[in-house]
Amino acid sequence: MFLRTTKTRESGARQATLMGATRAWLRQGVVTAGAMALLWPAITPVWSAEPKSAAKPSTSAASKPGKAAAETARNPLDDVKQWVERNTGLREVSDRQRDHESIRAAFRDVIKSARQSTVRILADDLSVAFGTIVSEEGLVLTKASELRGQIKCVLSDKRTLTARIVVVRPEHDLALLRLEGTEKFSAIEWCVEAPTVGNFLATPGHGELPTAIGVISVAPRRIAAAFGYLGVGLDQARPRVTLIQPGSSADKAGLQVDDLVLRVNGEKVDDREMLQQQIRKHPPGDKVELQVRRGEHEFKVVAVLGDLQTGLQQDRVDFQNRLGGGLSSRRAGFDSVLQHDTVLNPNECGGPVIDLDGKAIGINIARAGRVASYAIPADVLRPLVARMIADHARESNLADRPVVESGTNKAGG
Amino acid sequence: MVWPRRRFTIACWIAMVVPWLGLPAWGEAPASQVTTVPASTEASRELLLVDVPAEAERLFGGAAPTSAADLKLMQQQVRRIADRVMPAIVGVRLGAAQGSGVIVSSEGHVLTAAHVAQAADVPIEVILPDGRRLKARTLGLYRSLDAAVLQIKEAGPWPHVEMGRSNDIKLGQWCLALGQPGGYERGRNPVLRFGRVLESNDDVMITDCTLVGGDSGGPLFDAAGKVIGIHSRIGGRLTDNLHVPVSAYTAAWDRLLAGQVWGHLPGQTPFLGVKGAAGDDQARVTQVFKDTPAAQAGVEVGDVVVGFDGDEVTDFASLTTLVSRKEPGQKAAIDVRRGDQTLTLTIVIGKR
Repeated sequence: MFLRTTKTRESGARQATLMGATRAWLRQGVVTAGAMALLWPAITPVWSAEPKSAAKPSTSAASKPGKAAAETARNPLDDVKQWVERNTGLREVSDRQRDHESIRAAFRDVIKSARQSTVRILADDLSVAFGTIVSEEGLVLTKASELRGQIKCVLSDKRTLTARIVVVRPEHDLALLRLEGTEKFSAIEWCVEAPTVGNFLATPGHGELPTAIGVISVAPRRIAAAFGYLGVGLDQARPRVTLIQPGSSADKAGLQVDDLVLRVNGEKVDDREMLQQQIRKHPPGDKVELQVRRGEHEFKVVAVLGDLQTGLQQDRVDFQNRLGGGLSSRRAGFDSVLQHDTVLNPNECGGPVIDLDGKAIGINIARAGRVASYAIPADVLRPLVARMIADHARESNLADRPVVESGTNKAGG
Repeated sequence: MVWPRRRFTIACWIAMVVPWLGLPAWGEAPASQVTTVPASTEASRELLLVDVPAEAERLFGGAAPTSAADLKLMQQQVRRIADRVMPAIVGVRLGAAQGSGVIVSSEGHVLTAAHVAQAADVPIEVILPDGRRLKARTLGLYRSLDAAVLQIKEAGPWPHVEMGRSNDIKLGQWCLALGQPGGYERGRNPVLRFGRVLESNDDVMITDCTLVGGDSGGPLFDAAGKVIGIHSRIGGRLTDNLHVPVSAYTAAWDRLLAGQVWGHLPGQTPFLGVKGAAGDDQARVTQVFKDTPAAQAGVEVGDVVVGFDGDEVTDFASLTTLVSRKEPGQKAAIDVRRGDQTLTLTIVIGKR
């Protein structure tokens, strides 16, 4: 949609293309980040090189005559584009890129059946996730932590149906929704083979071509839960700061000893436990707003939380991981997920991820970093979904709702 | 007109080592030696080679797959490469810093990034995918391009991959990135990413294989499972993933193995902040720039620099040479003649 790199390969003429511009930027303002920021807080400085003079010859091809001028001229629209890219997920994709539609087009037949089982979830009319139809009776599996308010599902035939949450498994971050309507829905087909590193994957949306593609990066493994950390010592009773860990999230936010924390993101905190609970509700890297009383004054500060396990604020790791797009707020604490390199927006999780045989290899459960999306594998989902459906059937029976009952009995069977 | 460059990009350095013994650097190697695939002899037992069916080679060369059958062919090749090269992908640890690397000889040469190795001839730890920790030492560093080589100090033979060629890269060709993003993690295989070459020249290769901190030094592979690049840094967009072309290693192989260090990382060129006349027969300062190390140290216009950290300074060029041997952040004593006096000032080397 913002494509400017057209036909460059064919014509052989490299114009001032987007990639050319990218290269020029990368040569100019380079901030080196450490090999691993979290573990390397002090050694490698993060610096922003001053812009080199355009006249200064670079050692690279960029300085070849005739090309330099084109590459150093930068279009101010690029900043706008980057903002759009970051905030809407709309990305410019050149025809050399993996995610270009010419490549995604090869997956057209692969996702043909699975996209009928993919729904778009609206929460209070905001698009928050994809969902996966797991039974013909209209049960939809999706990412639980994105759901709030009034839930609706947009089907592949563009119909919008209301839905209600019937079973939630917070430990897996999964929710089962029930669509209104009595017709037969197209249920997803699960893959039975074990996922292998290097397998090609497609994430269907509602288009004929997949929303995104990728490969399996890491075999299924456990991802430990991560909790936010402020780095303060507190009074036994009231949440009054007695100690500030140097370099911690609290230190950087400007908290001082004797400050009294009144609210976290607007929630009142009366004692130490309440403050801890509020902080641990957030994963590392989240921003929380603290309302603080210092002497006579009351004010608000924003703290970027560190990691409870390491006690460190992962400024650089987190910064790098957010380069290129937003992350899911719930992105840790999973029993078994396979990691793949598909570039997803946080609101593109919850739907199926498809292998080259057209079967669902799992459900995308989190955008976890610049290089990582997580999916719960099919072999975990099959028994889990069966249990969730059975729970739903039992509750429906208890509630004695005949319409639902007839539907869920079939599903449970 | 030139727009001001305010774009904020980051570079993420990743480490990888490609030891490549028995053959001269690419430029000097007879064509036959370069292209011949070594037979599966006892000596090359540990060399991790990957078969490339002709059809896979065509697709990997940049042809767009058009069908599920094409995709399956490519998938098969990606799986084959990942499976074969995995044992040679290592984590690299120096103090609290972590990067990645790749073993390129049975003797245990490892290609990595210069910003992971940091300095020549220092102990460094190499972590195999199975978690074994090995003692290693850094050899040479080519800082300008971010290339460095390590040597595993324990007895081999080590599983290793071949270095390929980065001078005949086709734009749009497919490639695999492997590494240890976030540092080595027990129970996690080296992390695979798959993408295409977006830009390539003698200094840098750009792909859409996404990288992040900890990947620095990890390898980029072609369709034959040969190393074509080493991960170095990233920018603000998902397409800003920069790699050191493997030619930076092969062309300077002897210097790297000899433990030489040369060049500077971008933005890490040491400087003082003074200007002098080039033709003058002494290093007379004609300008001191504001807020620079020289200004902070108290250097004044008209001072004649006669010594720099124990070495004699004869003219401005010799001063420039001496400064270039320092690293930013280091302290140095600078001797200046001001009128009748000779003063020794302490200066902290800056960078630009």
